[in-house]
Amino acid sequence: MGAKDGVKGVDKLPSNIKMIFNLAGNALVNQHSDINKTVELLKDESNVQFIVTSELFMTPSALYSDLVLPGTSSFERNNISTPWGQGDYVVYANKLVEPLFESRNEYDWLVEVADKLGLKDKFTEGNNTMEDWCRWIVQGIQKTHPGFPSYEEFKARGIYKWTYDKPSIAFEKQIQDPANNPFPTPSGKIEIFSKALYDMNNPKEIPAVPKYIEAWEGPADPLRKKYPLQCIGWHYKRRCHSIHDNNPWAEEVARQEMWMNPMDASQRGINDGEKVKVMNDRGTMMVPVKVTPRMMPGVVAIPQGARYTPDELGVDQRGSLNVLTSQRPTPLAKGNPQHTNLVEVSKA
Amino acid sequence: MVSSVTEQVGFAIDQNRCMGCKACQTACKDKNELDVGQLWRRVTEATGGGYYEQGRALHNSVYAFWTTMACNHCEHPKCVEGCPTEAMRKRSEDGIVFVDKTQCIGCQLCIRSCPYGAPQYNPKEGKVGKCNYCIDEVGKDPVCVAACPVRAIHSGKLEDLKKKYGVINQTMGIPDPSITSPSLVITPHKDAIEGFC
Repeated sequence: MGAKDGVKGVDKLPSNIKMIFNLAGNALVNQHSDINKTVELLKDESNVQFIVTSELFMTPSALYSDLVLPGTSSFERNNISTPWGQGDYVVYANKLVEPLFESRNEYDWLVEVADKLGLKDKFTEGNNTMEDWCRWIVQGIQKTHPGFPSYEEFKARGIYKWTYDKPSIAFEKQIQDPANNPFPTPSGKIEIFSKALYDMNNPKEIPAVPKYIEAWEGPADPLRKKYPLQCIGWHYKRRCHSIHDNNPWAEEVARQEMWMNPMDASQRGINDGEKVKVMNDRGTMMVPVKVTPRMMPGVVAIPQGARYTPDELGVDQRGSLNVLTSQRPTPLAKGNPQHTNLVEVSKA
Repeated sequence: MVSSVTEQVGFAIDQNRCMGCKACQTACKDKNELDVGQLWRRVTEATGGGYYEQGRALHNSVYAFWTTMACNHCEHPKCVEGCPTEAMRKRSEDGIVFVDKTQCIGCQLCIRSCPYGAPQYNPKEGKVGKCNYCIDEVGKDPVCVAACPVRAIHSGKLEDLKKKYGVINQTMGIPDPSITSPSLVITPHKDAIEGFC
């Protein structure tokens, strides 16, 4: 990997990734693009040689790990949490029970590993437990928010809310005093034509002015002859990502299924509720179909987060969207391409 | 027969608020430890409309909404009338319809007589279970009401609910209320109104 892949600071990474600590994450296999390609990469032990996973469940990512450790849930540890992005509150998540059986907080054993490597002080920065870090966070907030309660009070109350004294205005400083508050661009202004983008010399994918670009595997792609349906993924209301995919009550709330418009279904002789085969060159899955006008003609949608469950031929039996997605990121921001897939659907 | 009720309790639901998350259904299963397949409260989707071409454009008239439904603790509960052992009863003080499991023989006549599908057979027990308005926690909101993140379900005395939310007890896709007089107030979804008016 190098600069063209978005790596900064060096031309090329000096070596492959040799070891992965996969803590409380199912992104290693399940929650990133092109599961079949990822699995091929992970199977080759000359690349990544050692993978440690700490988890609550035996996820697809855990299955591809050398070592699986029992982690703790949020009920088994103290932590501080904020709403994502914006918001006007911060919560203290109190521990309800001691860690069950042999499960351990990841931080606790990472400190022990660091100690064995002689790096304990560097790793902990003097905060030996997660609770020490919680205190450190509160001390930091108190410096900028003098009204913030003491650690003990915050912990007892469980939540702290604040109010804003005036509405937030985007780029307020730049509007009021542009001369002394330049934007972080070469000209210091909002650039409609970007010399920096122009110099990248890739006008088809990175134009220097804002411009529509045909999506790969989009409506105009010749690949539509083979795979005519646009396939998108979405966050299902029964789960956030892949956690709780194995919860039977959640399956009763909303079955893992592909949504398809009645026009596309009837063209293929597909009936509501039956199992269908969804495929492209990257992978194949079997999944029940919901035939519904809530899906636009020409588009099918599969809720993301189902746990990859291959049969002996490598055909996913659960409807895990990422067997169909591509690892090709967007050219500049390196954004995930999860909604940019062409597929064909047929009766099972 | 059913004795007169002093102060009937009921549910009020607002279909314009409900987003079909089924937190009510799941909270009920959690409290009552119900296996998959048993839903004392359940949320059903109603979908209609479709896509149509007009010139070169593709338009749509698609709509979808949800109906959350438990036992309606009816004024004339068919389940009580149909029960041969008087296991299914209606309380005189608040009109709650409940099963006395010590008397239920699992004959399931109540299941056949309820138009709302409220009583449900528990194969492990060999008996029928149903929503009992969280009878063991009187004074608190039933768990389905407490769990709703958008406050689409309300509980309380039926007369108060009617004053607050109106007198409609019908929406698209549910049985004729004249069968049992459900203790239910519905704010129908805008797209449900054509379906039953």
